[in-house]
Amino acid sequence: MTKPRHPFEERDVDRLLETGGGLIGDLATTGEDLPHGLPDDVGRWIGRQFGSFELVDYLDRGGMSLVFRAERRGGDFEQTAAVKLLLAAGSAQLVRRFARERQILAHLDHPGIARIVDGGVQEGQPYLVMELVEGRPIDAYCDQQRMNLGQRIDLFIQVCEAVQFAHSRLVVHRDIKPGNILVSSDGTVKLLDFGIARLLEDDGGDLTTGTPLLTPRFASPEQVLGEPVNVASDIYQLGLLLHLLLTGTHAQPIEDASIAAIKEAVVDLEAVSPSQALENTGRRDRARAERIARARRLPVDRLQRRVRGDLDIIVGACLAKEPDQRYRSVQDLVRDLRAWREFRPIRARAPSRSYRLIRFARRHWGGVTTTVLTGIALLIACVAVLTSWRETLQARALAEREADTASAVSTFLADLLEQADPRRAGGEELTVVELLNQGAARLDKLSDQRAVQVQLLKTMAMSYFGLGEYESVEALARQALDLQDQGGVPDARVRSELLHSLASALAGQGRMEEAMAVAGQATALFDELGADDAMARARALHTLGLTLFEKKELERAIVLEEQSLALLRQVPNTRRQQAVVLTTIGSAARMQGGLEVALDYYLKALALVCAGDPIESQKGAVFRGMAQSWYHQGDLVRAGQLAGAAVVIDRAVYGPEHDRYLRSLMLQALYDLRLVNLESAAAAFAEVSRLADALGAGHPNYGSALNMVSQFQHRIGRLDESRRSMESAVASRQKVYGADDRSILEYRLTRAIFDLREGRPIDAERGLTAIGDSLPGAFGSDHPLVDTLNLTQSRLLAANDDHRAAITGLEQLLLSHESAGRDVPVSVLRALAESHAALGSAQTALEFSIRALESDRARFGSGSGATVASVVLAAELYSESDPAEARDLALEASRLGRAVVAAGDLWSAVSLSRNAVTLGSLGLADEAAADCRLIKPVLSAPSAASPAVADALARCN
Amino acid sequence: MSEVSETVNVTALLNRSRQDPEARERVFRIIYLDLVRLARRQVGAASRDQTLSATSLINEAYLKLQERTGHQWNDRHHFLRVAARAMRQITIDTIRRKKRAKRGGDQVDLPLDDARVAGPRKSEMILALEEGLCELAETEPRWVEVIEMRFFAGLSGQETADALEVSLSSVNRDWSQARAWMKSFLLE
Repeated sequence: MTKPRHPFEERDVDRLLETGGGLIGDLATTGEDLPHGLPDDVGRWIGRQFGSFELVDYLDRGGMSLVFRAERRGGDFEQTAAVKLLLAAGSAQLVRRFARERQILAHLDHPGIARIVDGGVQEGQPYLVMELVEGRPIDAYCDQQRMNLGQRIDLFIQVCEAVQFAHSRLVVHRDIKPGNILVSSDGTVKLLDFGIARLLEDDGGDLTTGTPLLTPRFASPEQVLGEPVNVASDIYQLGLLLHLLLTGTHAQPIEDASIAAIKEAVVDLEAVSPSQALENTGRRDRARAERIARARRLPVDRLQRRVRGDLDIIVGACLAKEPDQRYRSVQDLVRDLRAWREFRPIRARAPSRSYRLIRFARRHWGGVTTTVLTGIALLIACVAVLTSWRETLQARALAEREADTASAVSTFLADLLEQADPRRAGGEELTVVELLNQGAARLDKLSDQRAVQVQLLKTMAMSYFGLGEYESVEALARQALDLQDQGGVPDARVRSELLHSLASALAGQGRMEEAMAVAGQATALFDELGADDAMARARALHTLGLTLFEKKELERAIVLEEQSLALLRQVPNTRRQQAVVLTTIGSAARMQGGLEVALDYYLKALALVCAGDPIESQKGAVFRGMAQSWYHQGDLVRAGQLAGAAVVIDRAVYGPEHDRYLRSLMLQALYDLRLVNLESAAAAFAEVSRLADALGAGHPNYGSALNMVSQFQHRIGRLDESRRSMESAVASRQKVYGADDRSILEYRLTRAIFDLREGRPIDAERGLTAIGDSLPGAFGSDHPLVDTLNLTQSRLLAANDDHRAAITGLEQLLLSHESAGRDVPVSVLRALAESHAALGSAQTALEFSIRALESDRARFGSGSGATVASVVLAAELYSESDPAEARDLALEASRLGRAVVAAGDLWSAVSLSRNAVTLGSLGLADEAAADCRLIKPVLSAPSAASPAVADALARCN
Repeated sequence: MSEVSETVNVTALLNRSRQDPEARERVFRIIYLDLVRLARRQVGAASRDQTLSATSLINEAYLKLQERTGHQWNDRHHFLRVAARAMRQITIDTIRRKKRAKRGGDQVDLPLDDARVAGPRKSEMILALEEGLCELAETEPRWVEVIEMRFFAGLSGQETADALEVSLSSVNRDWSQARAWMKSFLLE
């Protein structure tokens, strides 16, 4: 006998012929059930009777069952029910198990669970009669009702309660998915098919019939691996459901129905967190993200923020791949969900202090107000805030309290708390600073104990340091030093700490020369006394290093900090101090342009900060440094995420007036600006402006704050204000850091770029000439700013129509990036395209333009407003050679541009005016006119008046 | 391509397609793409685990075509024949693409109970069937059409009869013979 041509089993073939061959599910890349047409044999069931129920209508089919509407016959009362016919072959064993399980399910009496009315086996055909539930699948219901997150979670808690009830009766659902959870029009939840999956499982023989038993997107790892399924599997599926309800997307998106793909998605890959899923959707498909957010009654970015944090953690705790890492019970899950609803801390992870503080603050004040305390919450809140100060002090590496003085200090603080009489505070607001001031006033009463008083002054000074009140720190430190002088030979260690505080306070006020002198005294003190105290010496070195760092004497700063680090490593329990020093070295390396080296230091710092008991107070600084490194490497998205994290942490740890918070905030604002998230940027910049005003022009961070504000103002077309802000920024830097401060060069470069963009090449040239010689020397020739300088000079040449010279300069940049394996900046590619186009090399121009566009799309996502300029240029260059492509691009530009112009982006409006010309040349006059109508008001605003904008306006007329 | 010109083209194409093989081919491509797009979109929009049926997809494609031609073209029977063929083609193309994408054909034929998920063996059977159908078209073209409509497009017996403009009993006869042929061919 010859070998058969096809190695198929007869029952597989029968099954195939029964179910049909349309592979639409596969085709559509869902990995969902293979689809069926209406099964041929549905008709033959209608009219048949099972128990006392007659099948009257076909309703649905599941993986291995058909569902019919049925009516009771022959009884005294009318009853409608659903009858489910199980299509499994009826082996004797299965039939027996079926009867047993049915008994258990019949006792599952809960309002949230569809009841089993009857069931049995008739002529070998197992069937179940169930309560007929009218309703919509839970996810569809939530979207239709446009339920917000809180309402969704309340509904989800109902689901959990039903599941929990079944678990208490030792029944596991096994197939929790939206299709099995219906919500009736009055908002009650019913779970269907409890434990049904179990009736079909474990029989082995039926699994090869070609019908999948589980729905891959809602399968747990145990199910896919064929391992025992228990309560933990239901918790996993609840997590998948919650993810879907929160984000409108699946936590286990399955691209392909193959076994390998399913195993990978369910078993191997960590589930994407809900906030990440939202972000991904926003990047890939903005319109969809907006639909999803609308159905939850929040703007896209706020939805993301709401989900980030606790809800991410809760979903994550359901979706651990290892069953024993998940919530132990549905009750635990519900407890955390309720806690979230009530702004209490959740339990899913050991909460850190600052984390608890945020929840606490929200619960009591409805917002994150950590310094303004009201009403009955006052006393408790003080304790919480003081606790966080203490952490702040530690973080600043300013003090190690001696045990006895520590207790004296505690008593003092306790006294202070008692002072805060709740009656007195009723309705009144009392800030932390006021509390401290009260404390300072009371210090006099302790004048008989000089040592304790010195310690207290030092502690108070550190508390003020935590608040960024550097003048108070200075005053207190000087007072303590005076007190020490009166008492004979001072304790070298305490003295060095006081000098350290004083130096830091001076540095904080931007008085760098004085700070260095004081820091020098501290180091000298040790040499003088011959003291052999590694810790104190390390601290003194660090103070000096930090001061040099602030002065941007980076190489010397690194040398001192390395020495400090080496000393700290000899001292036990200096994890935090080491992290601080590592962060400073990282930042110094970054400012020298050594991004890889910087990241290396930051990662070392991060490892220390996150090891064991996390050091919240230093996290922000590390995140900030990493964000900046990634930003300079072009990874904007990652930079934005880290800056966002730094903002949250620094705000919680340091409060909304602190300059650390300001620094994190500035980064976030800057990245929002680069990603053209203008609405979010506007909010961040308002906050930056507020803080900058509060700190005043003499504050060390005032200059960089104003620099950023200037960039934002320029973007939204407030050109005069932008110019003035930049001038204030430069003035402040000169005042605080001196006329040779290198940041001034950076600000001037930015200003020249703005002049060029505004169509003022003469001003730009003047600016560039002023800095062109000194900038490379100040930053080092490898620094990215030097590339920016060269690029700007080339663009200036192009603006003066010297395109050949421009191309020479640009090609050098191109080469230097390519040979170093770095991404070529998009602005270089676009400038090359423009200049080649101007010289009539259409093909070369087009090639550069396409590269620019691809690079932009890769960086920002193809639907991002940040890609407008590149899309506009590509459309323009395509319009001769490929009108169809040009047309698509021009329409895309117009769609993307409108959104950002609506958010106030002046320069996208200018781009759109170019695009309008392209649209017109392609015969799309209506679109061009519509765009012009939109951008004209933006372009004709008096604040935007400039030659470039006038040209843009002319293009529309 | 603007909507207007497309409408004109499609209507003209559809009217020509009964006689003109080139027009027929282009109509086929249009319907093929419509079906694929509709399927993708349905899945993209599907927030729950709904089952996509070939039949509902075809109905939707028909409505879309009606919309596009401004309801000038009402030959549903003709449409169903084309759509069924398109569905067969889509199915085959999909399986082949997936197979190619996997590299190394071994993986495709994992035993089904390995992860309790269907697919590979079904795909293999359909692919095998496709070879047979090409031969069958020479001798029994009617069977092939019935298989396309009932097996690939999931149409009912009556719909198939209407589309082919023959009696239901004749379709049923063809279908049972075609099924018998499919079964014996696959077990050969």
